[in-house]
Amino acid sequence: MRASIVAEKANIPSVTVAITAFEPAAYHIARAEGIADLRIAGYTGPIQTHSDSEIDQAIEKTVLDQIIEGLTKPAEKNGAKVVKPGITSSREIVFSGNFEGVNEFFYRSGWTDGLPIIPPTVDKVEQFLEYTDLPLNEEVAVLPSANLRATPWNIAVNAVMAGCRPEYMPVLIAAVESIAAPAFRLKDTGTTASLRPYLLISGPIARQLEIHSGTGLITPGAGKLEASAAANPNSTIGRALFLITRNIAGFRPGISEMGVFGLPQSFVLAEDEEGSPWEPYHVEHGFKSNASTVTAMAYVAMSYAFTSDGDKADSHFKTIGLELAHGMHPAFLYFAPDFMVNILIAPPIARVIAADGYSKREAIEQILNNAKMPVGSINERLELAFQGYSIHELVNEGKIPEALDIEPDKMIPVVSQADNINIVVCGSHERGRCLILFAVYTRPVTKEIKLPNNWAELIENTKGCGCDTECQI
Amino acid sequence: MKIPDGQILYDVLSPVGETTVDAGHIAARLNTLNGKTVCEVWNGLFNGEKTFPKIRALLKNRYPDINIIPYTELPIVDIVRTEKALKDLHGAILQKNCDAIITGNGG
Repeated sequence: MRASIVAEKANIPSVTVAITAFEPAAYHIARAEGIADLRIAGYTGPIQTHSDSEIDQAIEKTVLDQIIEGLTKPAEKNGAKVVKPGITSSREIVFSGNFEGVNEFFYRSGWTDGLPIIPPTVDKVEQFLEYTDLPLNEEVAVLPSANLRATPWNIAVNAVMAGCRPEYMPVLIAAVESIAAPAFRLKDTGTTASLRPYLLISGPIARQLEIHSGTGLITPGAGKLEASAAANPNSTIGRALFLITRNIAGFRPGISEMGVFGLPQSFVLAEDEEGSPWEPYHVEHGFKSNASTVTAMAYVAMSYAFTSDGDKADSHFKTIGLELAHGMHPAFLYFAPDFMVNILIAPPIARVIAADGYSKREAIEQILNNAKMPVGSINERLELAFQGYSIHELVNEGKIPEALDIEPDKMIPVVSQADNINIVVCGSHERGRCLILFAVYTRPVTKEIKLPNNWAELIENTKGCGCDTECQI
Repeated sequence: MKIPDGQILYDVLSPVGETTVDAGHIAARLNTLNGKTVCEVWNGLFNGEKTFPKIRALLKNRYPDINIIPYTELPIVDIVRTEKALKDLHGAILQKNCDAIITGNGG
């Protein structure tokens, strides 16, 4: 429907043919782009699996008349749908009630992830704002798909709801900057395949905030209980990111987030900088070692945590390459170069690879060389996923290198460039496992975390559980 | 809502972002499609290669003087290179003097 928006803005009437289940998403996107009453010709049923005669029948019986009406009937006589706009006053008290009442109101408003939230009161939000030097109404970013303005104020509201501690604010502000970057393509995360953002936190702040980088780091609630018992940074920052994408970016399941099956909550990773033999992720990407960064990433699919044995780098390259080749659907090549693969490697494997003399970049190139499939097999799956597509077509469109357009029985890499692969060293210190996160459309975006001038003092005062009285565990 | 005695009452804020875009309206509609140039714009997905020809045939049947420019003569606005495709499309629909656009398929 973005093409229709271009046409309407050029004063040319348009109508978008879309399955009826997609209509709310189309209205939502159009409203966010400044078109309140986009015309849709609704197609009832799963157009992808309909036979030719079913398609003909649907067009003839319902779609055609909607197209004609959409192009010829004036808006005010057509009952055009207008999507409710976002709010304009952020300090307005929207509800007063007890804990259960607040939770019911927020849930019914579509503002939660279905779990209880901490009531976001002015007092609580103001506590969080102490952890940024930005003015409370400063525009941090405008987030698609709803194109609503993110400010320290509404970021803090969502952070409070998620159960964050106030000192997580600088991370969340940088996270919002990251997901707002065009290369991240947040607007496309509501895709049919589902694409869930997650964060990688790198640098000294990961240790200061005790972001968990070890065993089970993706599992909600994993981490050191004795360290920061009042909140789990991995879980709550991930949850806050999820709530921000819902409430500020405007993604709602079935309305603007159209994943057929959906994906679980966002999460947070930290690299095990002490356990890694390589320079930290943020240094690898051009930041100073004493800087802290947030990298926004996203995934559509995850491998299982496969085992990789041996004390030689080559065997790990083969294992990881094989899992990458078989786990990555060749349809990803259709999206080239806008896809990414993030390989989580446990420290014992990273150390073996490094001991054999490989830098992280060299390791990525070795994995890429081992992640190969026959051209014919890739073509077969491409043809099934996107009718008419093949390696040859992708080369013609300039998406992948010409050298890959070879005989069907020849092996070619499933990832055509090393820049599409990241490695993050994390997970158990004592077990040799890897996990691969796959994504389409998106590219990782790293932003430096800006700390308030009095950060050292603030962080010192927030050590411990945060209780008013001595904690009892 | 009735709050039992002794319970804490919370005055809470909205987590929703602030609006940045004013709601505009769609272009003026046509009186008829007869004698008009209607352009097809495909996103490359969801059986558009079947739906557009069918729609084209039915429209020509109903409006004998309609001029339909098929999607093959306009940029494909696919999800991979959307921004560039949309820029190209803007120029193309003006250059081809499109009076109306049919886009699809959303799914």
